[in-house]
Amino acid sequence: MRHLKINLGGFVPISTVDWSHQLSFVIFLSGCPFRCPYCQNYELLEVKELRDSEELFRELDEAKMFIDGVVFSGGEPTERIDILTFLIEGVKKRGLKVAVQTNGYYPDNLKRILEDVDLFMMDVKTVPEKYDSLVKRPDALERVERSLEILRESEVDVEIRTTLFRSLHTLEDVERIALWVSDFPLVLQQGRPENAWDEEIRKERPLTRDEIFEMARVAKKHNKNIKIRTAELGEEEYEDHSIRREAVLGEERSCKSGKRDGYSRSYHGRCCER
Amino acid sequence: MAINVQRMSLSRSVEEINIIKSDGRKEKFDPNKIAMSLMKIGVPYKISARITDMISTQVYDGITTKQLRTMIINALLQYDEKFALRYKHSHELLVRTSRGTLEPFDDEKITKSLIRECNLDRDTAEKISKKVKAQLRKLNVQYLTAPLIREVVTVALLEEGLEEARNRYTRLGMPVYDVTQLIEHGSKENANLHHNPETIHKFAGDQILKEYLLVSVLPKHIADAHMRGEIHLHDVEYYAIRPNCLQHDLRWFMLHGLKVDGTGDHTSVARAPKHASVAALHAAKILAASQTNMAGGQAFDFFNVFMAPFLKGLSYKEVRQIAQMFIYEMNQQYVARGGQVVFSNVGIELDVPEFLREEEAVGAEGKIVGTYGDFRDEAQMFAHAYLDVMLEGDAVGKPHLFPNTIVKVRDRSFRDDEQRELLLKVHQLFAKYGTPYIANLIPKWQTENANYMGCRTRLDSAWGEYTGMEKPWEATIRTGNIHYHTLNLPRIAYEANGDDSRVFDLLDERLSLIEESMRIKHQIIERRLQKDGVLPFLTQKSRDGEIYYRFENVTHTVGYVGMNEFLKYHTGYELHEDDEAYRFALDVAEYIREWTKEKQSETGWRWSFTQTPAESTAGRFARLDLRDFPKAIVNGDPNDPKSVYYTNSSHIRVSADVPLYKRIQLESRFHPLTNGGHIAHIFLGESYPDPEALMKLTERICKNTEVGLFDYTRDLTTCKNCGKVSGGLHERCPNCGASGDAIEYYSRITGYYQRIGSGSNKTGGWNSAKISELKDRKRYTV
Ligand code: SF4
Ligand SMILES: [Zn+2]
Repeated sequence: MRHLKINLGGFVPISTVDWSHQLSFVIFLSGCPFRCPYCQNYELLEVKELRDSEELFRELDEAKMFIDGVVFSGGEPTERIDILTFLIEGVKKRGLKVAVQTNGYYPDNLKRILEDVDLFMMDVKTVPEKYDSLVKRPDALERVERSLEILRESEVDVEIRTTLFRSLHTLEDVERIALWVSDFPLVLQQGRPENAWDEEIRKERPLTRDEIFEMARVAKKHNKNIKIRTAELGEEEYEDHSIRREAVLGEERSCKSGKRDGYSRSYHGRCCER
Repeated sequence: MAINVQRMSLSRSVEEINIIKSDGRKEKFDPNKIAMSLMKIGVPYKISARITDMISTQVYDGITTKQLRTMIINALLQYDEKFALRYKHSHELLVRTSRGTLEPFDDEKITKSLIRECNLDRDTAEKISKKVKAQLRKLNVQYLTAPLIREVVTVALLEEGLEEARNRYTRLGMPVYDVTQLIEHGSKENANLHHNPETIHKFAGDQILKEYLLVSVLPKHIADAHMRGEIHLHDVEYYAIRPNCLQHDLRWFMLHGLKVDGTGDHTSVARAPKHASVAALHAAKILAASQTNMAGGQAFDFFNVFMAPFLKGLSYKEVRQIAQMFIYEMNQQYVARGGQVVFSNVGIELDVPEFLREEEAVGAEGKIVGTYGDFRDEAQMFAHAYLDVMLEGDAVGKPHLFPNTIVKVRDRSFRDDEQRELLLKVHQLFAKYGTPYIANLIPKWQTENANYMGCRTRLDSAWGEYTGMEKPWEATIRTGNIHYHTLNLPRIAYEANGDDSRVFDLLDERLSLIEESMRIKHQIIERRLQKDGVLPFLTQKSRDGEIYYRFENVTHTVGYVGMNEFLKYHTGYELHEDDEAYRFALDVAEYIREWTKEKQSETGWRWSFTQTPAESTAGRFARLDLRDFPKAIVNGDPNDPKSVYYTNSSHIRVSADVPLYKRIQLESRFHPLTNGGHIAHIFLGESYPDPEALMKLTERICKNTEVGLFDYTRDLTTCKNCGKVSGGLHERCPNCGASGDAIEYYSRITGYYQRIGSGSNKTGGWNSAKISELKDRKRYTV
């Protein structure tokens, strides 16, 4: 098999939190055109070293039996598209699924991998007028819009993610983002200030799950598919009540079919649908 | 004050009068001494002088001390009875007894006790007691006490070179200072127990029974091997009285009713339960009552299955109430083993296992109400209810730490929707609190039934097959482990110094010590059960006279600590570093397993090989080895002996940077060998894992590895201020920012979840070696 020197920034051999309900092997590729102040992986913004792809695939082979797929993260994994396509090919050959996390700065590169990717997780970081200044890239908004367009027209599964911070996102911002990407599922993630690149952000208090829940309520008005993701309870699908919370707290719920009145449901509410 | 007796009118010279003392020595008669001793007890000067005068006229050469004293008492009696009595007391050795009375000292009592307790012949015993008496006189103490006399006797025994006799004659107990410390500050060694009057009594009692074991029950060479840290005996405070643990059969009590004292003589006797809630309360009391007879875990296998017949027709809400009652009982009966909760365990079946489907189901009032196969829905409903209560946590959002919940995964568990639904709830519980355990009965090496406790103790039906029981699965209940012994493997490596065959020689040597101790334990417990009758809960009988506890099925367990460090010293590699070294470790494990099989056929008793939980042993062995072997390989900071520890059993070093599945694969190959118990821990990071994905991971682990028992352990920070639980150990509550006493830390120590400490006292609950391990644990952010 072909070897390649790759911009590997690190990997997590097994994860449940990077791809909903899937077990994934997460590969971080270094290098990124953006400079988001809350970036958690700021050590990967520059490509510092290249490593042999062989090393990575050996690890992947050991994990294979336990995982569903591979998530490419970064950095911006689509920046070096030749490396990414090479890696995706290796992953597919092993019968594993592929997800790519992207900031949408390389629409043309996205096009090249559309066919081979099972899920795109694309960041929409803020409302349009704040975009370029937040990520410190003059043409960011324009390219992000083009990427959204490409994804919109494709068949591939897409999930849009917004990582939320107290000092960066107002309730209104979230509502407008939801409207902007109303045709995509939207995940509102609780940002972790303590790991942020920017020292000022590091000092601030994270938004609580309750606050994010409120944002989701507002977002839901424009987007029927809202999830939230917090440290407290992980990923939850937003409905007017939180099914996950009820499940986690073991709260009693009545079951519509009446068959199992009072069972607390699994958070996806499967109990009567069997 | 000196009295000038010369000035008194002495009628004759006393120059040549000698007194014979009790030990035969002669002493010159001295009137001064008599006057002095009278004045000392408050006899007025004049009277003293007069009596001294009088005595001096009556004494004769060769008078004994005793005669002289009688003479003085008689003289005093003529003046004042009170003085006579006082004089008598001041010249007699008086012993203050434990009954609160004063009695004259009698050396014959010592003689007799030496003959009775130490098997001394009368001459030697008399010689010692005479010597002691003289010694005591010289001491001039106000009151003698029995302990003081005993101390003097033991010294006299040592002086005569009778060391063995001294060991038998000595008292057991604690220095006054230590008792004060214990009362005021609690036990240093066992900080995880709440400091209260019950635990103070427990520790004081433990101290005596521990010493009793080492000086009186075990031969010296075994006690020494334990003290040196070559082997570890476990639960030394309970060794001489209690067997270790028990998997109960709830059906027995549903049939026969409940006598918590085992006899029904001392307190109320309950009939077989009629209502589900009573059945649940009985269940809680069974575990508590049994705990008073035993050292270790108390468990119900098939808990939800055996409860099921009582739940017919109840609404989910009612069932949940019943589960909740039981769980709170297990966390709030603060009574066992000196003010602790019971070490309780519950085995949950996701479905009624095949071999139980045709078994007669015991229902209300002990009536047979069909077979357990008829109660599948109820068994599953109870499992749901139980898990829901566990998920809810307590009133302030903390996890319920007990019972240890063992979820048994069998062949169809991942294929059947209803079982999957339950499993998902189990994984929600993992995601939130990390508290349950997965018992994986899927691998080929597992037997028809196997049960586990949180501490990992395992019983399987292989013994039932081996002994030809009609229902082999019944070999897994109404019995348990009698005792644990643990091998210090790294010590063997240091002593073998790289020589393979020496390793096995040393193993043989240590194992034979363990065998010897195990035989002693077996005989002791047999005697306690059958002759002394001190384990009445266990020996209680059914209506047809059958004894509850199946002593014939108890297992004799040997375990090990530090395979990883053993290997590192012996081969230069750790378990995860080299295939050949790893195989050698498997060989060592195999060797011990074979040894237990040999013992099984030699003794006709059940023997098991286990991965010792080693809550304190891992630290103790490492500390002792570091002291005696400068080259010892330990984890933690060698400059801080309190922090050092060995890796438990054949676990991969907790801090090793290996992927989760590799850790599990490497560890799981020891599981088929360790039939007495094993566990693999997966330490999770801070993030809240996705339960559905985590369940997939469980499925793949269960199907692709040999693992028998495992868990996902999540470190928790709980907050009393806002009632939220956060993953990871945080200085402040990530939700509301509270700190100090408002936040508490939890994690799995070895075989159960335990409080680590609080925001203001971070390490109150765990021993320092385990705290050091906690810091080192590699956590997987999954
Ligand atoms: S796009 Fe992602 S990797 Fe790049 S700076 Fe922003 S947060 Fe960091
Ligand atoms: Zn809080």
